[in-house]
Amino acid sequence: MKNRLLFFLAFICIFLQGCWPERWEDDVVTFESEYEPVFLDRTDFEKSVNVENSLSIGTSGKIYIKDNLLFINEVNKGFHVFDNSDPTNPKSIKFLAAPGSTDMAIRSNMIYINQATDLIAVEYSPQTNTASLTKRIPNTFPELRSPDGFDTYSFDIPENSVVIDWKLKNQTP
Amino acid sequence: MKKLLCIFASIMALISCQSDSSNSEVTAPVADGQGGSLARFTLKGDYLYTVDDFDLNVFNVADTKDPVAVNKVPIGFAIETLFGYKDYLYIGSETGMFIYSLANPEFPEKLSSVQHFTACDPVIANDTHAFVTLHSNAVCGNDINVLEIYDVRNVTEPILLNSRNLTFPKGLGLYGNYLFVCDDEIKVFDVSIPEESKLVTSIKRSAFDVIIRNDLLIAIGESGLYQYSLSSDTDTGVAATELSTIQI
Repeated sequence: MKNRLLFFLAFICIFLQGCWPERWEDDVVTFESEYEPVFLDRTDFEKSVNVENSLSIGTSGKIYIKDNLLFINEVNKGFHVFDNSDPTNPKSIKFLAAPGSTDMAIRSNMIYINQATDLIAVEYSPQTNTASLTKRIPNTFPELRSPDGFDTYSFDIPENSVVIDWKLKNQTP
Repeated sequence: MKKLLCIFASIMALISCQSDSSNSEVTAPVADGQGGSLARFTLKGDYLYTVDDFDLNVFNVADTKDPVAVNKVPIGFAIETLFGYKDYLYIGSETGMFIYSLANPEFPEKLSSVQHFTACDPVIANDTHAFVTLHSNAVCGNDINVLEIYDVRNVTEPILLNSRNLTFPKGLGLYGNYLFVCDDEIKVFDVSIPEESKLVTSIKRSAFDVIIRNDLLIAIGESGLYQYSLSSDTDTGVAATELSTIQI
């Protein structure tokens, strides 16, 4: 416990050091994220896991392979599914939408995904390319932090909603 | 009668042993998929292990459709990656590498840790060595960009064997004695003598992680996914032939 506190303090120090020089504004120091959270109402969030038509890749994340399937994470959005049975010619099949996700692991036909704060289990059929959610463990992971390391405390997040992504704040004043 | 029972019992015991070992060594790799070195999820036996910023989470997946959260082990902060090898978990964080034992799979136990200055670091391992890349960026701070090789034959006491400066190393993967490291390009090191890792060749691609399965190399970058066929080569030891590119 003591160690964790020390780590935390060390983290704060290192973190603030990074922010310091860029954040002087008329002698007022503001510690603000350059990003703002994107959130979904929990009801919508829980309904958001679907197989959709394939789409082009925007921000590529981690990759995962299972038999002939290749998955490319679209950061905080879901997974592009490719048929990679011929690695000289991978074919885009579907997009597995799971807002807030970055990671997966697959055993047999079950895909485990970190959907923001939740762990979800999705049964995927490679024959029909359909998916169904078999289990959701809500609020088992911490809320997504902004790319520059801020958490959600300083933002007005409506109750019963889940942060699924962060976007750059509008640059126009 | 008693004797018969005894023989029967020992035969049953032998059979169960056999099926156990074949389960873990033959069935598992076929049923489970494979991630890259930046993965935060790994499957082992009846369990799914995941790391988030602070904790190692343990889920029982004996019923694959119905994972159950069974434990949460605090590790530190800024945990980055998780790599399972045999009965060990290698955890990369912004402060160091941790090795946990899965002797009791529901209660991973810390065996050792190696601390270093703040940097982001995936880790992978084989029977004898662990390979760690450290890189710095705006969030991770400091100016450290190195590949470190540890002797982990004694997992309770990892020994740093070799540290070499790179440009901006990220994901990494092993192909026998060759280590593929995503740097400014994909660099390939001969690590048969880990104290003297040797750069043997490189692939001119910008990538942040790789998966190596048999002779197939899959590399993911910000502007593409690249696949290569790996083979032995008399000059460099290993050669990569490009198979395809998915433009991003």
